[in-house]
Formats: sequence, C-alpha cells, structure tokens
Amino acid sequence: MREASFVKSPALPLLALTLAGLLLRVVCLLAHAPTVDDLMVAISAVNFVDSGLLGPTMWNHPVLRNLLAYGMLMLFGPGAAGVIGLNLLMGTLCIPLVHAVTRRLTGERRVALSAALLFALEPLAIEYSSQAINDIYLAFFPLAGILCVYRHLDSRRPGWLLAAGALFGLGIASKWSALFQLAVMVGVLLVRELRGPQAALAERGARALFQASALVVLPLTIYLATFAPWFARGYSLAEWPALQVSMYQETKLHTGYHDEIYGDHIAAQWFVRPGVSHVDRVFTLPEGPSVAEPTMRDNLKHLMAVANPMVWLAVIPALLLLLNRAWRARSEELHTLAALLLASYLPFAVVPRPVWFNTGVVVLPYVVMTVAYGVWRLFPETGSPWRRRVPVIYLGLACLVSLALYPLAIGLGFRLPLVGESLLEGAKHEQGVSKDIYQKENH
Amino acid sequence: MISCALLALALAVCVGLDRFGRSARRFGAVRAVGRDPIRPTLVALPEDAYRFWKRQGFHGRTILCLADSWDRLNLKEYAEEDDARRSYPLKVYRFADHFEEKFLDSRNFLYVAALQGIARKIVAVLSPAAFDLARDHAHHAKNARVDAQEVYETHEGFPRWFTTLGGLTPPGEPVLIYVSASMFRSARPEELLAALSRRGVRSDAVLLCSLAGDRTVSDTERRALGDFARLLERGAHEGS
Repeated sequence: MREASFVKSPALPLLALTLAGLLLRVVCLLAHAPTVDDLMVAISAVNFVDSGLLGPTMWNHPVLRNLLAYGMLMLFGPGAAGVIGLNLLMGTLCIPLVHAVTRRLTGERRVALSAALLFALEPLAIEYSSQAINDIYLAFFPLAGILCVYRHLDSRRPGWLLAAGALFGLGIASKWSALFQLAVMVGVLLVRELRGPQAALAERGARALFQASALVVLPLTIYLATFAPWFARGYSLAEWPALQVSMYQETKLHTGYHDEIYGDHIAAQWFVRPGVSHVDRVFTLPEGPSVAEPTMRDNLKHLMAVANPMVWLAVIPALLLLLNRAWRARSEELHTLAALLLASYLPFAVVPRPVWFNTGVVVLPYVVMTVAYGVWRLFPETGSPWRRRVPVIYLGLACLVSLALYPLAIGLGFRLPLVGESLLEGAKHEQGVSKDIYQKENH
Repeated sequence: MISCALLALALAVCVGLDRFGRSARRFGAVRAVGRDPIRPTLVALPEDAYRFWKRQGFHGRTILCLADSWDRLNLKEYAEEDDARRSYPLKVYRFADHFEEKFLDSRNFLYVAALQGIARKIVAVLSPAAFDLARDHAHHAKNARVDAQEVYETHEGFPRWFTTLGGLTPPGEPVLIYVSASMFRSARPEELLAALSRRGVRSDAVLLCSLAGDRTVSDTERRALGDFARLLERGAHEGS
C-alpha cells in the first residue's frame, strides 16, 4: 500500500495532532472546577518543600511531584497554569513522544501517526493531563527515557544514555512503576551487548560500567536527591531506607482513602471488559449566596474517563499478532514493544490490591502502539482495496468513539441525551466494595 | 571517566544529604539525665510542651515521651468539610501551620510537633498495659515490627517506637524528654530516673506535664511528678 503523502512527511500532521490534543486537554481543564486532588496536590507540595513531610495526600509515592508542583506554584501562582500547567504540557508532549517511540520500534510512520492519534484522543490521557495528580508523569518520563536509549544505541553518543538515566530517574522519583520500563531498556542493552561483536574484555567492562552508571546509579541518585526536603527535617541517610520500607508497605497494601472501594479497580479487566473507567467528582457550589438548592445534576461534575473500547479491547489480539510478527521477523524492536506493554501492565494485573484505572495512563502509550501496529499488520498492503482501507476505517471509528466519550471525560455526562439520566442514577446509587478481601490477603 | 563522575556524584549526594540532615537538628545545652543536675520545665498541658519546644527552636529531634498510655489519633476526626467552593486561584496553605492553628490540643501535640519538624521520631515509654495495646495494634498495622521489648510502627512514614521503662534502649542522641504525670501511675520517680540514667539518656529539655484539669490524674501522681523534678535538679543519681 502506498503511504499517503502526509505519512511520508509526518511533521505537519503530527503538529496538528499535538495541537488538537492540547486543545482537548485545555477544554477539559477549563470545563470543571479544581478537584479535591488538585487542591491537595498543591498543599502537599508546599507541605513537602516547607516541612519535609510526605502527604497529606498520597504520602506513599515518591516525591518529585511535590517538587515540580511547588516550582510551578512559585512560578505561576495557584491558578490553573501553576497547578495543572506542567501536567498539561507533559500530557501534550506525550503525543509526539508516542509517535517517536512507535516509529523507532516499528519502523513505520503510519503506525507511529496512528498511535499518536489514538493517544491524543484517548479520554484517560486527556483527563489525566488536565489534573494535578502525577499519573501522566509515568507516561511522559519513561517514553522520553526509551527514546533516549534508542538515540544512544543508534548514535553511540553517551549523552543520550545519560539523558535516559536522568529521565528514568525522574520517572522513578514520580512513582516506582517507571522501574518496569527501565528494566526493559536495561534488558535491551544487555541483549545488544550479548549479540554484538566480540570486543576486548576491558572495552566491554568499561561499556557495562558506563551503562550501569547511567541507568542504575544516576536514576537512584536523582531519586535520592528528590528527598532533600525530607532530610531537612533532621534525618540521616541511615534513616532513609526505613522511610522507603514504610512507603513500600503502604503502596503494597493500599486500598484507597474511603471506607469502601469505589470505581473500577481490577487491572486484570482492562483489556477484556468494555466500559472500564475512572471517575472523579467535583461538587461545586456557586460563589456567594445561592438562590437555588444545589443538585447533583447542576452542581456535580462527573469526570468519567472511559477506556475507548475500540482500543483497549483490541490489545490482546494485537499483542498476539505483535508477538507472532516479532518472533517471525526476529525483531528486537518488536519484542521490546511487547515487553514494554507486558512489563508495564502485568504487575498491576497480578498485584493483590486494588489498582484503579487512572493507573492505566502508565500502560496507555504501549497500548496504543501495540494496537496501531496490530491494525496495520492485520490488514497488509496486499489484498483487495476494501481490505486495505480497513485500518483507516478502524482508526476513524476509534476516533469517533473517543470523541463521543470526550463529554464524559470533561464532566458533561449528566447533560447528555440518552445516557445522562442513567449516569446520574448510577452516581446517586453507587455502592462501594468491601476492603475485606484485600485486607485478608494482606495480613 | 563518565562512570567515575557518576559514582562520585552519587557518593557526594549521599554524603551531602546525610550531612545536610544531621546539621538541620537544633539542640540546646545537653545534660546527662540523673548525672548532671537538670532544671526541668513544668507545664500544665501537653500543648504547652509543644509551644515550649517551638519557642526554643528545637528541630529534627527525637522526643522521648513518658506517659501511662498512648492516645491514638484518628486523623479523620480532623477532616474538614469541603466547602465545595474551590476555584482558581486555589487557596494553598502550609498544612502544619493550618493544623496547629485549628486543632492543636492535648491529644495531638506530638503529631503537631512532627508536622512542624520539631520531632523527626518519637519514642514512647508506656505502662506495660499500654504497651500491650500498642503491640496488639501493631499486629494490624501496615508497617510495624513487634518484639517482646519494643514496637516500631510508622505513621505515614513517620517513625515511632513504643516500649516500656524496662525495654527502653539507649536513644543514641540527646532527646527532648516529655514526662506526663500519668507516668507515675505505673512507675516511681526514683525508678524512672534510675532507668533513664542507666540508659545514658541525655537531654537538653526535660518537660514535666501535670495534666492540669485532667481528672484521670491523681494528686499522688502529680506529687510524684514534683518529686521527680526535685530528683532531676539534684542530679548525681546513685545508680549513675
């Protein structure tokens, strides 16, 4: 199949996609008042930098978010730009990053553009680029790190690997899940080393030492350095591992901040159950004395990031196809893509604690890459004209579904015809799930 | 060469942070409890102890809290109703100051001391019965270590140890001592001083709290607190 001219020169469509993605995210941000999390992220940032304390919200996660949020508050103040601006930027930059990484891993521009398109429109990515919590960091930093590792492998310039180490360090300092992608890229370097031309032992040793320094020592150093405000409380280095253990224990056993568990929290369902979603709610009263009695319909924004079923339900067949092609082509890059998807997802699927769907942002880049690859591979360049058009039709439909889900993501769900009433009723009568099952497993 | 630079950077960060942390601790004039004469500070209420520490500028310290029991806080009690009028620009505040201003009381003074950076860890010496309760609680906690003499349990990463007078281990650094009159429900003044002296406890601030107005504390216990103050002032304990 001939690649369309816009695919041969993807700069313009990619720019258009990125700008469209930015627009969708800005509208999402402006469509609702700040969430409780937005406020608590800002307060936690001040709390950490001023007092060295983790929390009051999400104290168990690493602390980079606090530092970056504090910096943004200092630069731009506590308005939307200061509170959400950085996440908006990262969430938008993920679009060209998805493109670049997909292109490097699959070698195909149209697959790369398709992945970027799916990412740009996915409600989950839109919503978490427009909120202050740091899930979007876990898409951004690993993607940038992966790209830098490949730049290093392609150019042999050490600076790229140092940049990769720094980016993975920032990722791990956001949440530990960045370790999954780092582990895959360390594996890629190891495989290259084992398969590469035999060099003198000293040369290989020096290279291994450099790689370990860049991808292990440097990230750990950055991770440790982000705790500087905590050390300002008087703690010594010897006391730091105990803090890490307590953070780990909370993360391992975390069951949420409410008495019961609400929302989709089983990661094993993400690729098999349609309609998986993550919901945030913002109840907003008008400023000043209100004439009307507040109601859920008028005053509650129901921010519902629903997984685009055309993307998420396509993951398993697309992954199987990817693995098949990777095996047949003996392609290191395709194996890497599969490994990135599996390494990013499986830990959440098997861990015996609730994992809410907002964490899906971590997996989403590799989801869209795999699905975009699968759809173009399943309908190859040869065949009837109808078959050749299937990927474009699929992508068009996927975009339409994402756009149809967009009003839900920005909190307009209750006002929608057909579904608005049932969403409102569902919100009114939502029942939590008991935490007993997790607590029994964990104790 | 780059590897050496990165390793040197890692080492520098480790050493630098360690020194940075240790140098952030603020001490007063340190004396050995039971050996040197110490003039304790008498306070009526636990929150007065907090205010004293704050006034003195203590920071990054271990607080040795001696009390009959441990009042376990449920932070949900302090949750404020969301007024649902959030809009940009957000009203961002310093959480420690906010909590102190709105909620500081006799139950949460140690929590506020932790929030404000005065305490970086707490060692609570309790009666055997209260220690048993702490041990039971720790069995259900997410991050705790329990042995016969000591319970280690963190609160949102903040380290706390619970023990009894018999199980107290040497703190290894000068501590801020807080003694509640309730402590003398299960210990005698001489016994307490001897135990602290034997463990080589050193302190730059000993606060004795009479728990004024607390009907669970008897006059006998308050008198024992006074006796303990006199023993401290005398110093040179026999067991030292």
